[in-house]
Amino acid sequence: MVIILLTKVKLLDPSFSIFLTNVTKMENLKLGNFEELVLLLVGVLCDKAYSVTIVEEYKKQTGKSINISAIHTVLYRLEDKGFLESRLGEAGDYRGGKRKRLFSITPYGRKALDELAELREQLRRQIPPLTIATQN
Amino acid sequence: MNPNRPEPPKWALRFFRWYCRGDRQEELEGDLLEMFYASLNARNLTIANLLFWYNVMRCFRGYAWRKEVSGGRFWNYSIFINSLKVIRRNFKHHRLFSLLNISGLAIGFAAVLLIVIYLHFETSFENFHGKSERIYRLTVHYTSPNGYDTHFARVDADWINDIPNSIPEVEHLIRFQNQETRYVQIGEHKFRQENAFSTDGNVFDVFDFELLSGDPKSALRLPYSVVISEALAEKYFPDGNAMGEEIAITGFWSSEENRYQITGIMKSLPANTHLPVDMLLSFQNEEERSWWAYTYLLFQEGADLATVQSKLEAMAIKRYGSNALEGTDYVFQPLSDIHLHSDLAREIRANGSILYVRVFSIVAMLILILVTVNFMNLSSALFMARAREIGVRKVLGAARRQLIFYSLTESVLFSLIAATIGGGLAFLLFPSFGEMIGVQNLLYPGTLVIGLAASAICTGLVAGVYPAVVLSSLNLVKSMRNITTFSLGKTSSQFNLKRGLITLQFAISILLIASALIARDQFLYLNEKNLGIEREQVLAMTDVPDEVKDKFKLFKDQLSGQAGIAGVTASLEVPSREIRDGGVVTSEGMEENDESAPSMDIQVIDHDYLEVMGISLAAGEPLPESLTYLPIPEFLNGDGVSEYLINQRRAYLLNETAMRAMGWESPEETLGKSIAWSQGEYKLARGPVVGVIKDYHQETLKNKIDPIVFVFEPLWLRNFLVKVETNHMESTLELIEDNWNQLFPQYPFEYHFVDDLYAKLYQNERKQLQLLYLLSGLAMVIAFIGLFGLIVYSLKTRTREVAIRRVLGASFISVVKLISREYLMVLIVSGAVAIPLSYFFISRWLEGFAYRVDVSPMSYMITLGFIGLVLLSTIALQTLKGVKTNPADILKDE
Repeated sequence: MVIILLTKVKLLDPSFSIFLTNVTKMENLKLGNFEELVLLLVGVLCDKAYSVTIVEEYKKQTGKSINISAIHTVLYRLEDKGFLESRLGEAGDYRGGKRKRLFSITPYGRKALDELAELREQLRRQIPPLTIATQN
Repeated sequence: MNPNRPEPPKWALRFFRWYCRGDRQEELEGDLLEMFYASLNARNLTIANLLFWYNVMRCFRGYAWRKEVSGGRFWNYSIFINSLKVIRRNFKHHRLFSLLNISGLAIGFAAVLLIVIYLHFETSFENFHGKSERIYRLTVHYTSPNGYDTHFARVDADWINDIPNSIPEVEHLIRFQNQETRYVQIGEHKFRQENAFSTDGNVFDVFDFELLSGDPKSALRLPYSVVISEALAEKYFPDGNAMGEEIAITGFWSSEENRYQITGIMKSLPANTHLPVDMLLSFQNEEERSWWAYTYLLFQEGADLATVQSKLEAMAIKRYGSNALEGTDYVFQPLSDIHLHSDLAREIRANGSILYVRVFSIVAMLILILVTVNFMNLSSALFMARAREIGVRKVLGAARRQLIFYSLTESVLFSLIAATIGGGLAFLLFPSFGEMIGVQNLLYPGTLVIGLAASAICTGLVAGVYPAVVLSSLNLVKSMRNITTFSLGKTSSQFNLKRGLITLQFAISILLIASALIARDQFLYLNEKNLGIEREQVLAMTDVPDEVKDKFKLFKDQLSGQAGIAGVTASLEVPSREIRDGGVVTSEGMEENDESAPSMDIQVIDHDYLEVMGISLAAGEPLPESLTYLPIPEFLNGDGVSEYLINQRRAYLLNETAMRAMGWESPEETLGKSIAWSQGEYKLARGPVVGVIKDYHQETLKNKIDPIVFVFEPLWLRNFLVKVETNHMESTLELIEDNWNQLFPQYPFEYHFVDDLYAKLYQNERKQLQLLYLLSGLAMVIAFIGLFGLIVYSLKTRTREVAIRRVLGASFISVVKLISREYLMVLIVSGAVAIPLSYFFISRWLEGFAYRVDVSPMSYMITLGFIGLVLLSTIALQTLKGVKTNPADILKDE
């Protein structure tokens, strides 16, 4: 609701580009489900987090396999949004002498994760306890 | 690193590197490699390779793609203006090169433009007839077991007039009849009218003959109406309106004069038609719509050719019984195919040939390649000379793209200038070119200009890419420090693009020049071969009308013995023309319908024919004088001709081919045998063979000598031949004309020289040869310009080297040797490529002639020698220029 209002206000402003991309960018500041999962995995892997290890960790934790290109997409997107930051790590023979890009969570990303978790927990707590229905 | 470790698939990696953006390439490639090696450890190589490919494909997504450089960064107005300025300065600085470069390209464009106009003309035939896709010409192919095999362009069956009524798919049938030559008389003026056809009234419903005046619906509906072309109207009535006038037209078979009214004036037809109409006459009556006619059918929309064909055959069988089609094939030809694909007997005019269209398309392509290669070579040499400038640009931060853009701007600009010059050149050359090979330009000037501009831009881009890529990837430090020496590379160790391009150039030049030389040999052969007949100094009055023909004896008697006249004779077909009549020859004891009786051409001759035409006998004697000119009886409607023919006494001559066709071995054996000749109802009485004629070429050398039987028959002497003496040609001609006018006042005196008639047979070959000369000449000039530029440039870059060599005592000769060695190597290689190719093409072409020259190795030697000579002399001259300067002056810079 807030977002829609914002866009409406901005549309009135002549300096504002009316390209839809600006609107989608705003929405992208939210965390998607899969994005949240990858963000969590980066956190779990701590300073060893880069695409290949994330693929492995994902498989280990969820039991499902995933293609590396999916992870790449999400990692770069999260970095764009400011949830992740990255630096080039060490190179190794096992990767043909090419350096890897190591990712770590930014404080903003951590905060977003915490908020999401809190929201979930809060909502979960409000679910009435499960009772066994009786036939009377 | 383990050196034995398998590599990932090369092409996958290459593909990845191609699409991947630079700033992410390292990490992404690392990821891919890491997974590849991991899967290599876990599985085997094949699976790892497949997985690698799979992953490379999967990574082909947005995040990995190249970032587009935004347009503004290298396409910038001020940079563009600046590059124009630099291009101008460079042009001034390297004036010679730039001019060579542009002029080579301009000549190439001019040549290609001319060929395009030629090709368009050749392929555009009949395009002005709006319904040309639905119009078919009906032709007939007759064969017989006797060896008779002729495919006629026209049809002689009268029942075809019924086709539009019997076959619903056919809308109209139009006959064009020119069985006889027409003579037109207007007041005092007499004209022999070619391209005059009797035709049907609905001709304008089928063909788009545009009437300037007159109504197409009614113009030819009434008998004795005539429609003439605009040009003809001007010729007949130079100062007045031709419309509605009456003109007198006399036919060929009778002296009867008919008066026709001009009911329409037709716009003169463009040259691209096989049916050049100058005069259309309506039929006098239904009977006239018979016998030989060029027959055109207009099909209904969507009608199927095969259906019409089978219905036509059914029609013939219904009329004439089941063997109506024996030895007779009716063939439909689409109107627009006639010019390039037909070439049958009795075409209205000589056709073109798809072969030449193909050859010249290839030649146009070759010249375009030649020119582009030239341009590439010279531009890249030019750019190398400017390596320092490029280096500075790079240091100042020019991106690779910008440099490429800069170089492309330059080459496109040059190419456009060249196209302008080339267009102008073509414009100037076209009148004489068009006349030389008989071509009109039917393309709109706008189309030509746009086409030229488009091809100039394309050529500029193609030619500019190579130098652009080379220079933009130049090593920065190297290019700043020194100018690299330019040479073709030492040995044949590796493929070198520069050397490849020059080889290509040489090869194309050799191909064109050698082919032109051999074609010239053949052409000279055609014109100079001893034909077994003397064609000099012989006048021919061809296809004389009946009335004239019947008075031949009178004509002969009057002229013979007069001053300047060496002999007078006549024949059925004028030498040089193919004999069109033939029949079956039977020897003693043979039945007339015997299938083994050979079919032969018949040449009817006067007694003096052999002597006047210089034809020699292998044995025997000429036709005896005892066969005399008797008064020819009057035949009404052709009645009584066959009785007359069979009742005359006969004697025959055969040529050697005919003798062999009869199965006789020697002339001596042949003499005294008796033969008879027949064709349908026309039969000639049995008579002795009195002589055997040595084979001579009656017609074009494209065809083999046919068996010919010679006979005397005054009824059929349609061509008069007069041999004149060389001195006092003019007065002799006057004498003949006076005699003619006295005997035949109503017919114009027209004559040809027999040697001209023979030369005319090869008109098409002459045209093609001239075109080939022109093109190979141009190709040579273009190649020379390119070569010259390269040699000058390579010497320039090697000035210092040459100077040092000279200081160390090298002679002029050894320097020339040094420089020319690499070029001569290239020449030899390209000769090895071009000569077999040229041999292949030229022998295919020669196969079209029954009598031809052998492909002589001399032509190739001359070509190679000539190019080699040009090459060496260029190198020698340029080196000499360098040698004149003091080596110290060159070397003191260091």
